[in-house]
Amino acid sequence: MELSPENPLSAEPEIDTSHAQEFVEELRRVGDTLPSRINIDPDSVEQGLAKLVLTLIEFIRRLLEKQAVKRMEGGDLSPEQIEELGLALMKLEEKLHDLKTQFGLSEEDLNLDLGPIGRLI
Amino acid sequence: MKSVVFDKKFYPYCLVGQTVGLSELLRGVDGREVLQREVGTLTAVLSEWDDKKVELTRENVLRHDAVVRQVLEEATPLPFRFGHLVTAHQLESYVESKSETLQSKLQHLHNCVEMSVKIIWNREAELASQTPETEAMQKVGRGAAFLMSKQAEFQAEQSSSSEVAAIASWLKSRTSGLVRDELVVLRPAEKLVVSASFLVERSSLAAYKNRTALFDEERSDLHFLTSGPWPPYSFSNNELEFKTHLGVS
Repeated sequence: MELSPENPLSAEPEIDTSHAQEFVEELRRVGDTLPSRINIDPDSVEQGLAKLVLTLIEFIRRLLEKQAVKRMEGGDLSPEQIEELGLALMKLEEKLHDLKTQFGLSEEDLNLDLGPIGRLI
Repeated sequence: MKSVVFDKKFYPYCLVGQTVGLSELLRGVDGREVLQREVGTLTAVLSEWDDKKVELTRENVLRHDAVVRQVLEEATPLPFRFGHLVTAHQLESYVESKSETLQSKLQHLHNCVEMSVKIIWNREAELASQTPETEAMQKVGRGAAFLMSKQAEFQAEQSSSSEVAAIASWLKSRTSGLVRDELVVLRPAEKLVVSASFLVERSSLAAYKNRTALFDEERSDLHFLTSGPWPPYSFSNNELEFKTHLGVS
């Protein structure tokens, strides 16, 4: 069936769900409708930049954790090395948590929308 | 229909393969008149613009959508996302340089609409039952226990990713044969685990809706939100070519 002035499509969208409130909350939370942007308002540029920098640090921190777990599973670390590595990563996590609090950012804030590829973290 | 004047600035809504009948009462972003102009082999639906930026307001976003939806009633548009401003020269040059791609996109979208399915998977009880503290962790130092808890966390993430991938496969199998194209985004770490956009031919729309209406019954473990028809925003990506001029920081 071809679209034409004589044969138009009813383009009024329908939305159907039995769990409207749950979806509203979730969609608001993940910011599904608009891509996240870096805020360059002069009054809050610091927070916008902090969000970007901390997101990248968080991404690298998670990579380091995965690498450490892989090395632990691979059996190429002594118990002392596992303990040291674990303590270092634990402190890094705590430090990042402090920085997030300092800049008023939550865990959900530390992410980047990469469009069709999905989210960074 | 007029050809574009070279130095003017425009707010574009969409590109379309032919002129469409738009209501004279239709008003675009900022209450402006909606025009159709020939740009190369295509028709651009746009408004003339003399400001530096576009105010991001609920009303303006709805007006942009209303224009694109009215075009959709008659033809399948290549929509622009909200907030672009272009000069006539930029638009001409864009259409000219991408002519083949745009024609092929229009061909791909021809007579189709976008339908959306979002899925929430409630795993709170399941996640709460995953106690990272094990006996082995109590016997080692804080550092090693930290790494062991991370190991458990990664294993849970991996298992969750596989389960979400299985949900996406199920969804694709249930819509198979009724859609021309699909974009499925998985978010295993979220409650909203799947966001899918399907390109559905108008002639298959009723069958598609009948199929999706059965989802609640077939998968009582999942919560569904189905919506559409929408203009095929997810399948056009015109916004990648121009900068937005939103009046927001």
